[in-house]
Amino acid sequence: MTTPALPPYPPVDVEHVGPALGERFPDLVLPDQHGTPVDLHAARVGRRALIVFYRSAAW
Amino acid sequence: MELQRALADYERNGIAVFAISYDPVSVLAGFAEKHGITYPLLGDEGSVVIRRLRMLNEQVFEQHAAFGIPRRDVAWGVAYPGAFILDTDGIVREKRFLQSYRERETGAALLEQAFGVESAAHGPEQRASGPGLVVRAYLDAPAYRLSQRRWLTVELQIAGGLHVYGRPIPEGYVPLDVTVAPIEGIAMGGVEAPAPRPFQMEGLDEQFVVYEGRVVLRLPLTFQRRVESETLTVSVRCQACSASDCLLPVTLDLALPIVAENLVDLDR
Repeated sequence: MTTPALPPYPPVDVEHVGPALGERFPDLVLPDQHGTPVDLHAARVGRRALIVFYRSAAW
Repeated sequence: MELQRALADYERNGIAVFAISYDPVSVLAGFAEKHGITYPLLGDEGSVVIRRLRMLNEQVFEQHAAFGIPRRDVAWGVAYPGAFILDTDGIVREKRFLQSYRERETGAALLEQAFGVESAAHGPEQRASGPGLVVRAYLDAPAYRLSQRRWLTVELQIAGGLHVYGRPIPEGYVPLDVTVAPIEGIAMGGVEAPAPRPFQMEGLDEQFVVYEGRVVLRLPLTFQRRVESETLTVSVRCQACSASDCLLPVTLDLALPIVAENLVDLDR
């Protein structure tokens, strides 16, 4: 069985990247694909949430 | 994005989904229309929020160089690819980052593992049964994409009053083993299994650990090369026993077809 190769650059220091575990996710307001401002916590309306950061929709 | 496929499962389970990138709204609008994306794609043009949240990928040029991708200034400002799982109070309960920036997890895998909800969007399942148990196995999406991580889920349902053994195990007994026949171009990680519980058999000094009821095991697969028309052969070997007797040991083979979604451009 082959094992996944380690990437040839320093590993991401997950603990220090982004909001920490156990912390409230910071408030943010950003426009969506329709240009409508979205207040993340208000839009959740008390639901659990998945927030995915990704590179780009353009490339 | 692939996440759209599992969106109905998220909604049904009351989980809000947001995606964030550094793209301007015009790019997001085109992307959403092209791929039929209905969940919010939030645009952080200028990467102000990405920076404030300590999500700026400062290694992006190193990562590109490592894969032989020419330096493009436009890459500066992207976020680290990763996911946050928030509870109903908005508290970060889990952070999921993959170390290789090209690997991605599927929406269905995140749903199953981070939220503990089975996704209806997973791949076709295979079932097999043996003395005292039923096994089913499925991949978390019906097709694979290059560099995307797929999880193989193997679920055992052990009949009431019976158990199967885990490791460590005294000699002469058959522990639960899940193995996958190697396939060139697919990197397979180790099997992730829940912790078995200690078990003492009456009249025996030997120490056992056992699984009972429903047991879910998972194994990560990363497709490193295009694999066409292959079959993933999953073997589950175990022996179901009661407190006094054992049924015959059994090896159950499940064949899961592997289908390429499309050939994703490798220089992304």
